[in-house]
Amino acid sequence: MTKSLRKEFFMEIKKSVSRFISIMLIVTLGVAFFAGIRSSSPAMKDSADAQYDKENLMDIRVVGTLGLTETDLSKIREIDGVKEAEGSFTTDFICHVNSKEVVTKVISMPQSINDVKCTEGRYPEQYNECLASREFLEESGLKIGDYMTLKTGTSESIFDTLAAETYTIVGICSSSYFLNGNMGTATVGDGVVDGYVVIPKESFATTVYTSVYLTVDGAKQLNCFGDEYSNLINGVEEKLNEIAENRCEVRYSEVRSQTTELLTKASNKYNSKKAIAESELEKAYQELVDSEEVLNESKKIFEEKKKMLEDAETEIPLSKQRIAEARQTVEQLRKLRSAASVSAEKAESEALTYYNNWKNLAQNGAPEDQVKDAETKYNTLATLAAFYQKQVEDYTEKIDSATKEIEDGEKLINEVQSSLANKDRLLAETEKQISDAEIQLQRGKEQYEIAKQDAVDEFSDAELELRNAETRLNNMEVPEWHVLDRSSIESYASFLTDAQSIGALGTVFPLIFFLVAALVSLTTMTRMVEEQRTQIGTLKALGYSKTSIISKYIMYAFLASLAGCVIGVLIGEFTIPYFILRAYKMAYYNLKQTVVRLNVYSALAASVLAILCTCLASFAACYRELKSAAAELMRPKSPKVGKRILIERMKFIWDRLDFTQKAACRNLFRYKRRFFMTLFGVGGCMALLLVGFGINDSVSSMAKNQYGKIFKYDAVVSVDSTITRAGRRAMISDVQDITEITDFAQAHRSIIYSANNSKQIEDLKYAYLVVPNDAENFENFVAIQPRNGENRGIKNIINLVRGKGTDAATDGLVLGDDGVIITEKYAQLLNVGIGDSIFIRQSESDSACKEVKVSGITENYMFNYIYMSRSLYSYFYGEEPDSNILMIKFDSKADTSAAVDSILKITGITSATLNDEMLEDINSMTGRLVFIIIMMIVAAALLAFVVIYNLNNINISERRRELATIKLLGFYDDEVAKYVYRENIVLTVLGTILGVILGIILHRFVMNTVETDVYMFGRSLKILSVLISAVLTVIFSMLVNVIMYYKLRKIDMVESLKSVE
Amino acid sequence: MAFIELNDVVKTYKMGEVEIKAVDNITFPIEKGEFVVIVGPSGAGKTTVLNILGGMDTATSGTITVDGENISKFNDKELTRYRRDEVGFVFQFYNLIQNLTAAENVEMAAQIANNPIDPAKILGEVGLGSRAGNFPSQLSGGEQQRVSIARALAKNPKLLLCDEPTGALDYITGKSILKLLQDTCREKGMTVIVITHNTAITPMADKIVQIKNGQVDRILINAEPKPVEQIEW
Repeated sequence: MTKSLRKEFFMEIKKSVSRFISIMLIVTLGVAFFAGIRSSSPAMKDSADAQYDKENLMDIRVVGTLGLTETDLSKIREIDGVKEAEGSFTTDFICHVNSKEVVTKVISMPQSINDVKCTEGRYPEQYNECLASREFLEESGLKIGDYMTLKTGTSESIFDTLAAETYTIVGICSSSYFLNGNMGTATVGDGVVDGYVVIPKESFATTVYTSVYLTVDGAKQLNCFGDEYSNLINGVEEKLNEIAENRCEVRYSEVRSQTTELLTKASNKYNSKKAIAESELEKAYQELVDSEEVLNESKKIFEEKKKMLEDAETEIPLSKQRIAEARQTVEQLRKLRSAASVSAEKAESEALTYYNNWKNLAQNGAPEDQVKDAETKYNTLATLAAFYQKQVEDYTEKIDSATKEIEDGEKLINEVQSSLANKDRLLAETEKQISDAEIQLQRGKEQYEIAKQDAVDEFSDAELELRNAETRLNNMEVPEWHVLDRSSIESYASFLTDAQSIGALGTVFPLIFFLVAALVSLTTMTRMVEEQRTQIGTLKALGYSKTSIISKYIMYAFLASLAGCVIGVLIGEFTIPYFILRAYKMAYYNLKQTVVRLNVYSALAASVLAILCTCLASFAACYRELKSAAAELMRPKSPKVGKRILIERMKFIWDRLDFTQKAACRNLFRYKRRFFMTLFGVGGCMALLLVGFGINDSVSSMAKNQYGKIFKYDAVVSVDSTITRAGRRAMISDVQDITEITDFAQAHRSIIYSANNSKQIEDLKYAYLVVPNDAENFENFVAIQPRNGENRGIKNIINLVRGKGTDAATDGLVLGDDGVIITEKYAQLLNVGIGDSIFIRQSESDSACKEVKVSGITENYMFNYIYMSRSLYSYFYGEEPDSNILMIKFDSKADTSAAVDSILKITGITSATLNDEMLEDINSMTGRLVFIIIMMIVAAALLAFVVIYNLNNINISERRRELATIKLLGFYDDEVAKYVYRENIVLTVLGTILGVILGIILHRFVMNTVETDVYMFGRSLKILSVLISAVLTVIFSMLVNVIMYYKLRKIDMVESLKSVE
Repeated sequence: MAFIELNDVVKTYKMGEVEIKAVDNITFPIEKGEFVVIVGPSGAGKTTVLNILGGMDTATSGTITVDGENISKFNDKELTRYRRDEVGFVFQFYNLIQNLTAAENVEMAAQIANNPIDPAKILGEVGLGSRAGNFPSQLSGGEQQRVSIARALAKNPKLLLCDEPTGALDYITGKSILKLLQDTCREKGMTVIVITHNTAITPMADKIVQIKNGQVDRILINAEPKPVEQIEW
């Protein structure tokens, strides 16, 4: 470069400061985003590593399935490369506070590794004092100075593990082992650890460590997220695995002998207890049989008495008739008697007459035969009279006896009637006595049955337990050591995932800015070269080489972009990681360190890319011009030729357009580069906004979908796992009595771990195994259906417009016995589809896994679930699943908190969780997304401004002459503006449409990237978000146009008179 | 009072500390239907006169009356209206909109005017009826200038201001354009003002205003203007 050219170069920069700055700014923007987001992930990792080093976090954790002994610990210490090793006790307990069940991890106070810091209060000094984590205190509502009592949550005694069950909280602690509230899963309670407490080591009653933590020599000097660190740790892990087998054999024989002894004792105790219970039951049964006999006897007597009375009743009319007949007989007899007495009197008087006659004759001595005759006559009549007399006497006697009979009969009837009058009362009384006795007997029987059933249940439970214990003992395998590194720490793993998500974001977002930066500098440089055509031609004519001419423009671009790079790197690398770290610290609240270093790699990468882009762009622009001959260059460049476009063929439309509309239409297609760039800039802006709002949509819809659409129940309560069958029956009837509850379902829920192959033992993915008692009714509580239609929201609107109503839920899946139904995210995690097999373990250290086919994949957003039928569960585990949860639906108008209170009062129910509460928690948690959304909006606004401003600027300067002409021709300012804006409006609309498509793709990518193992965000965007984004895009574009308006007004129309430069 | 009158028009530009008088006390009248040529060497102030007369710039002092209106008192908006309704411009470089066809370029002017003339008719009159559908790039320089004249006339203006209308054209074409302007003046009674440095064309004018150093040097009246065909340069 000659001296004069150099001078001209600096003059050029001075003269076109705004152009220089515009290139610089777009480069700044691109580089800041690129380098900033790229160095966010390292900054997150550096910060966490610093924190871990400071608090001496373990490098390796050894967990034994049967625990680790002091000997194990000393053997581990001997291993080369182990810096420190420390045994630790960790057990999960349950702490009940105000009818709330807090699943508590109890950890022994570390000496050096996994340092626990007391942030408030003091360290525990007594065996019954503890430090509590912030999460524990929040969950339980306790504070320093309060007492807390632990329960095992199983039938085991707490004193098997701990020396005390009640502890005084003396301080609040934090540990880098738990960077956030995710403390993993527990085997008690609802399976999720709510908080932890730290107690002195001597408070543990056992001598067998649950785990041994160790640190590795030289590990602290390395970043724990790097490969070097992994290699170092892997080396020590291998050595640990080498000694593991031997140690496990020793432990096995130890435990086996202990267990066998214990089991024998338990078995004896059970047998003696069973015998006693059985004899008691027998006695009760005999009593029942006796009382039943008595009852039957009295029933028989009652029946007889009843029969007699009824017989008597039927005889009364008969006796009455007989009496009436007897009366008639008496009457007849009386008549006969009076007739006989008349005849007797007549015969007597005749006899007297004959006697007298005979006597007379005899005295008078009437002939003998006359006397004899009279005597005979008299004798005959006397006999007759005596006969009659006798007859009268007979009748009298008969009458008397009949009368007596009548009297007797009447008396009897009276008696019978009076006794009949009392009959009903009597019978009723007797009957009641009998039925009372019967009820009593029935009750006795029922009680007996219940007692019997209870006893049977209890014994079968106990027997099962014994048998299980026996099987366990028989199946007891040689324990295993699990040698785990930091990735087994939940918060470490999720932090790493988050850091990687940000890293993944860093690969896509900055590219948009970079592309825009490249395009903008290309356009700007092309414009600059075009403007200086004549000058280039002159220089060429003067004999300057192409290189020296080109170097001016390349230097110009280089300096502008270099300045932009420096500013961009400084701003980007020191602000963006800082803000991202701050946002993540809200979630990882125990992360206190902030390490933001200049990331030389991404700074250089961004700078080199940016400088290359602009320099190449300017080279390309110059090169095209320089190919022309000098003479040609000195002549004005022939303006771009007007071209006919397609719409012109449609006369009926074209003829209706005025000339500005026509010009706008042609311009759109004339300046293709500008067309695509604006489209891209506006589209990018729209896409970024859509992603920003879309993140919010996805996260909020996740909770809403989960607790509205998928979980149709309102609350879930945990059932005490030690409950007896009788207790369960009582509990169920108590639940039924609560009026607010409209429906409920019982199910088994536990945590299981699985992988897509049987060999994998590390990095198993956990899920809730849910086994409903009633598979058919379960559909009313949890929607088991495939997710269909990505944008159901939009679909619904279309359907509404068509008057079809919203899309009804699709056909549910059927939970059969041929396989399990797993949730969508889980399928994705395990990388399995329908028909594939998954391998389930009951715990991470479970050595036996069950292979099961996936028969369906269901829509689900939060946490992972495996739904299994009852019979399949029994088939796998040889026992009925324990129904340890109730899913409850409330009346929509009911006071749910009151209902929860009454539920928690029921014996056998340990905790209740309202879905509404979960929803609230999640919604408040998603508040931190606001930051990301703001970042997106700012980025989008910047992008829109830079691109639209630049392009408009170029557009106006390119068409300066044309605009000056129409101004001179008498166009008012607003008419001139309209002439220019019409294109912008069309481009904005087209860009917005393109942005919707881009946004949907980008949104899906982002959501996929930032998702964690247990959440699946919604994939659909709300119409409202699209509208807001579109409105914002239009506003940004309009703002630029407003600024442009002043620029347009400043165009001097006299320019139109000048010759083309 | 004449149709157009410039009275003591002064225009000063400030270049930093220095004041430059581009136009210094110019006074001349123009009658309706006159063909006037304003002539002078480069830098004499011709363009400033054109700017002021065309309503693109305002005079520092003095009055400019056009058909009874004193345009020197006009604000921006009134000046725009004045340009829109009363002045037709013909540029040295035609200044056609590249993206519009000849007909559309004329329509563009007609659309904003108060009392426009049918664009098709005007194009026919300037002899381009058959090329109405062509884009400027498809036309020769002379044809483009004809479109430019048609565009100016379509507005039906009170005066036609032509800034070096032949400056970018060859001799023959230039002549034909001048002929068109002269014919327009004669046949339509249009007031035509041509600004040029080419003194050779002065014989065709009714009135010649010679400008030198920002002042009117001489005003010549041609009793018998020559037809264009007889002029040569």
